[in-house]
Amino acid sequence: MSIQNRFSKFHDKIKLGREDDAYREARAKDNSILDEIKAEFRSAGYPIIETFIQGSLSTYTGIKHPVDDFDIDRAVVIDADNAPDNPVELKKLVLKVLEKRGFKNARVKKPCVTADYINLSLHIDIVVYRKGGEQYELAVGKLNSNEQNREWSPSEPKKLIEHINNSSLFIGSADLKIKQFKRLVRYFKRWRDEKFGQAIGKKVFSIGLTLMLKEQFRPAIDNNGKVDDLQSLRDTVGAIMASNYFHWAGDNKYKVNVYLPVQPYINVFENSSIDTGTQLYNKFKLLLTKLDQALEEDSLKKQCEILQGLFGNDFEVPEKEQSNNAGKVAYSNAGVVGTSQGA
Amino acid sequence: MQSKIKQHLTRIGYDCIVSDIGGFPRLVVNVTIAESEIQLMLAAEPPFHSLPEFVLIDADSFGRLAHVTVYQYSGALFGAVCVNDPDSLSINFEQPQLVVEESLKRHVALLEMCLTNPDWNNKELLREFYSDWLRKCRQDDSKPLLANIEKPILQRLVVYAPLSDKEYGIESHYMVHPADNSFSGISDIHLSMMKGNREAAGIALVIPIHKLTPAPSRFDSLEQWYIDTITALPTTIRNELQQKFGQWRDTTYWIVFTANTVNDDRTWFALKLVCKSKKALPLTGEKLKDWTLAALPIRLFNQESTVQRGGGRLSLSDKKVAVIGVGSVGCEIAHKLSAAGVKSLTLVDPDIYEINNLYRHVLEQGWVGAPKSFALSVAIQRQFPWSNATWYPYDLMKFARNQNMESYDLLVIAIGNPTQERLFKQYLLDNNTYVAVINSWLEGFGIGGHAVLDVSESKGCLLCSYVCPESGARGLVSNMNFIEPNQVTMKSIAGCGEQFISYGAASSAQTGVMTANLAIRYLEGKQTESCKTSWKGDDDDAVNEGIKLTHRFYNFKHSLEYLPLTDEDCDVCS
Ligand SMILES: [Zn+2]
Repeated sequence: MSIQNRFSKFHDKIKLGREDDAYREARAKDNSILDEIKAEFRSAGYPIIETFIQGSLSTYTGIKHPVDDFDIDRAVVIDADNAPDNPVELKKLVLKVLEKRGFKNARVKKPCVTADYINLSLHIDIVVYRKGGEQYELAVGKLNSNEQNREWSPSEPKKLIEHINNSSLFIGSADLKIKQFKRLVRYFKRWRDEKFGQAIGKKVFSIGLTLMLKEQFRPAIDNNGKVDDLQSLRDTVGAIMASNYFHWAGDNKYKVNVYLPVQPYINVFENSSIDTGTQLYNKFKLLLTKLDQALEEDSLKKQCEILQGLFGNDFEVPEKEQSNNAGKVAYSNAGVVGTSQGA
Repeated sequence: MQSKIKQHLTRIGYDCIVSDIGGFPRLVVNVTIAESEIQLMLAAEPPFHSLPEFVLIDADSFGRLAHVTVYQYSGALFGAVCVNDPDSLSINFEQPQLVVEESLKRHVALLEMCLTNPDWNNKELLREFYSDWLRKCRQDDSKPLLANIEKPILQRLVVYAPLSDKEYGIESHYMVHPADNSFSGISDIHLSMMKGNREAAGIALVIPIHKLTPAPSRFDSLEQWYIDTITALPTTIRNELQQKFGQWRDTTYWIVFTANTVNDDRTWFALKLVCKSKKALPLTGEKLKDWTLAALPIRLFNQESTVQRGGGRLSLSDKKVAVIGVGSVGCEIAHKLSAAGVKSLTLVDPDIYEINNLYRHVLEQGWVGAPKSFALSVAIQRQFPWSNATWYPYDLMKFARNQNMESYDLLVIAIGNPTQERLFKQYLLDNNTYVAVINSWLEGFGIGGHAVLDVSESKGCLLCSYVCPESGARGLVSNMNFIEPNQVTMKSIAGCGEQFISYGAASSAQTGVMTANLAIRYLEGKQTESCKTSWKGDDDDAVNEGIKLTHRFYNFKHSLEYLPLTDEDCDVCS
């Protein structure tokens, strides 16, 4: 059995997909809450003209988290001509709906309104945009923000999703490459969840990791189309370390900067501490060393042990060196596949 | 031009003159070979599109020379020297003097061998026995005597007359009765005997010669050669001839001689003896006076010579092979395996031959409406007289359940149906059946074709080629494919049930030939390990149709090579 096969099994364990209960429950909850927000906005005179999902669900890079809540990022959009000058007005409407539904910890944060379900490990973020022409503007501001701290901030949420999902810049075998990239995003997220304490882990934003990966992604696919996620992971981490995301802040400390490739082009880690940057830098360095060790290693068992050290127990280590597969055949999870085969 | 050539040859050291021969000025080159002065006359004029011939002047004064044919011209004897196979040379016709120089060198070198090495000369004369014999044949006897003779032993066989209304085909020839009963019952050779409409024209005697002498030259007497040859026969053969056939009286005898020439090569040649009244076979010069002799061209055919002459291999004649699926790919495989000498071929296909199959199948129009497997078995036996092709109108799984798979040396599956192919593989695994299997398929748009050889005892199996390259799990499509799965690659003209993959007969033939080569290699024992092979075509048509191609397609550089099949993630092989 190949190391790739092990990666594949690991990926199956961590990925959050349409077939997962958590995903389906979240979508159901999301739908019902969305209906109420729509009604609330309509009666307040701000009919919702568009809604979409943001975040890992929109880029198919979600993973399961053993402890933490599962996020759903829902965007609602109203017509700019119709929008109030004060964006917080709309966020109050959202808050009202969430409170009425009995959510835990419902509160207005600067970019969104957030709440937790009481009986589900589900966390919901609702963002509000107004749209004039093709321009989206994000409702920024807290409940008590004064005029200087609240604004309609130009934003390109859909372009960001497109940027992450876009495979058109891959030369050849685009499908294989974008799929490999997305697996790498999931591996990165799981690595982050394993390697950082909860407090700092929350500050190593998924979008920041995803953007670095997208920019530096190095595919590894042999001539037969066999993918090699370990090699790709190593090469990509190497490329990230070789580019200029980390800025020396003296005394072996680093600031991390990853800029949004779309409006408002801000640094995702603008407000992150030196401590976050330094930890991320050091852990990346260690990750690279470990991946190199895994690549050097001949024994599949030892390779898996190194990788388990990075990604946690969902990355399984075979009991014996050459695990005997007899009796536990891995079947395709597709029911039917259309083929081009004829004679 | 003649003077330019003369100048060139003189400059490089040849002794040349221009002399009047037969009323024309001819370029003559004097050379000394083994103390003999010989003169070579250039017998061709530029432009030279083949090697220009030199003829040997006074050809009769050097004894019998191999590769030299003596003829009379303008009252003298000349020898035409055969220095090469004319078609395989590319002539520099822009530089005639160089062509003449090269030709002259070859003539001199050949004559040197003949004159200085009598052993070699004699061997060469024996080697070319049959072509010399043909020169003794009357030009109007262009159709050879077809002789089906298995063994070079003294024997008597019947000669059948041709049918007068047949212009071509087996029945337009005189034919020596087949001694061979291994023919397909529906071959022309067999049928033409069975119909009983051919008259016996006389008898043929096969006479083996133990020590062959060179064929009679153009000027030698055929009668003298015959008497010399009969006289030189071992006493046992002469006695047998006398005892067995001395009592028989007839007006015509066909004598088929056979002898070893060089290196165990065997030659066959024939004489026809005709007499006005019925007489015994003449064995002395005195008796021969009443007979007229004519040399005859002959085509010996038996399994050994005919199969080998066609590039087939006798080692394949006892192999048992089944081809399952005889559509456009399978029919080519079956045809090429038969041509290679596979006699026991089982053709399996439940489909009927339809009119829309015509442009990518080998079967004629007359077979429309017939089961493909049956039709192909007949077509193959009609072409290959020793084929025993049989047929079943079954699909793969029915065939598997009704026949003993292990009784076959090889199964070739060309059904283009990955579900059935994987099902069959599982069936073999579940039943611990060990048989070598080739799976062959093509993809549309001329993009390519593939074959997988799965040898039970070696590393790698069909399912190795189905391992998903991303997950390592058992996939549903071959990982060798050049077209991405889940695209619409079928075309439909008439709607449901009438879809077809777009590809031309050249694609299916290419796939079939590739697969047949792999099968032959396996059957000959040259390929003992499981392997895979593909041919890659152009992507123009696929790109025009917006078809997405695989990573493997763009990176594949090993067309027709035999690549290892094993995949480390295959659950069967690990
Ligand atoms: Zn296998």
